[in-house]
Amino acid sequence: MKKYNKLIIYNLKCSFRNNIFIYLLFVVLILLSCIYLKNGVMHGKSVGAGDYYFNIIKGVEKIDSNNKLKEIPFIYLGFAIFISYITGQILENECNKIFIIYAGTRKKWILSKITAIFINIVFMYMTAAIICFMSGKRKITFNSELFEKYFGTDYFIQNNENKFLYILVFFAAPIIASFAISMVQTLFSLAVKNVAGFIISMIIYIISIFDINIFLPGNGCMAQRSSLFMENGLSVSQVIIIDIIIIVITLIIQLKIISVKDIL
Amino acid sequence: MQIEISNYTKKIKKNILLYNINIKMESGKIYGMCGRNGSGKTMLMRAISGLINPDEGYVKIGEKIIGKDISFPESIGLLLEYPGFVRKYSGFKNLKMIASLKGIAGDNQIKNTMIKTGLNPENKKSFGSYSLGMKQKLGIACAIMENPELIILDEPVNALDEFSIKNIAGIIEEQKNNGALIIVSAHSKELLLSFCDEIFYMDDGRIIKNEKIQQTDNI
Repeated sequence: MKKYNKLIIYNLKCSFRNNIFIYLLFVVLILLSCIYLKNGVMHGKSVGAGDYYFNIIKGVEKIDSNNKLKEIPFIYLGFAIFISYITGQILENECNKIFIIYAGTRKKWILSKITAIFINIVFMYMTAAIICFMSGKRKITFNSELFEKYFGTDYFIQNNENKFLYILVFFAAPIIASFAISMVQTLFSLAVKNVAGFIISMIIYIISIFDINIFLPGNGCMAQRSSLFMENGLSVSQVIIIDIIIIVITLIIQLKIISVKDIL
Repeated sequence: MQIEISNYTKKIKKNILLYNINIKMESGKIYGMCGRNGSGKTMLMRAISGLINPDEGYVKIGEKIIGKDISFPESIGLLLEYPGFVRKYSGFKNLKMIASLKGIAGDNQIKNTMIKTGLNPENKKSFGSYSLGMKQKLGIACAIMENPELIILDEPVNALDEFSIKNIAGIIEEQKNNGALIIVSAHSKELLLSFCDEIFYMDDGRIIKNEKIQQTDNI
């Protein structure tokens, strides 16, 4: 267990140290989105942490009846690129040959990578949440005017008693959905090449924009598409269950692949 | 430790990379692999380290078959192709991170090993800015710092000057005297003749000849 933990820490340290510029860029993206919401949209009026964070994870509103995309979800795509890129960096590492041998078993090596990928995803969402929390002056509130005029959702259940639903929609669903896509990326990276995994990951994120479908994990990363914010929206519990099934299936296949893969 | 490679064959996309390899090796000896580029030396080293799986045959270390009983040799130091470390960390920090996995080599042992290979452990220069020779020395240091039972060095003297080559040869001898089983590859037969106990000549993935060497006390 000790060695396993050290492997995870190594993967995370390596990823952070080699890509510190990327992480800084990610922080800048979050800050810019907060600044834009405060000054560009609300013209300096009060914006709560909930508004900032929703702006980060809302994704894009439903496609209209003419099947046109009304806005480009820059932040959603930014998250997609950052997470997919760092996932690829964790998988492809100069020291892989030494570390896979030092890990003792192939299974332990790939599980340590997968764990590091999951921790990285949690870290990115938590970083975004903390920045939004600080930007909102530590007030977890939602501005209904902002929701109606800017976010375009008129289905916001502001007085929803089920606070747990917020945690699922705001944190659990995006994290698990992003992890499900990263697992598919890992699978293709192992089976084909690292770049193939990255491409597949981006395809999933992009296709998810155009189809509100419970089987496309990217929808879990878009809070606006949940039943909390959209009439006939996706059930967050169903989204999470489907994503967990994707994670389990891809994990089983990955363990099989790594046991027979030639490491060249 | 004893290594037995029996009828080992490996193909990738119809290309035969290793064909019907049969070798027996034992501790306390240095085995050389000699051959031109693409002869199969590195692939054979991958096979012994467990990085590739055979199409036929097996590699047995002691009583355990690689890929069946164990994934990789339990006590191994490896330098394969180019040394890969974290570019932004210093040499010492890289080795410390790797050593922490098994917890065998402490800071002093790492430093002593680096000094032996001709590196300064106090040097804060990042690995990314090392010269080729320094990178190679760090790779060798990594392979030997825990005094493993099996040491595999793929062309360890690449990019090294004559003095450093003699130094590395001395280090390899020292590990042999500690009871390690050492496998070294090189293009140069003369280099291998100077310290190997047996040399295997490879071409097109096959062992075409092996030569047992009578060592004199030259080093």
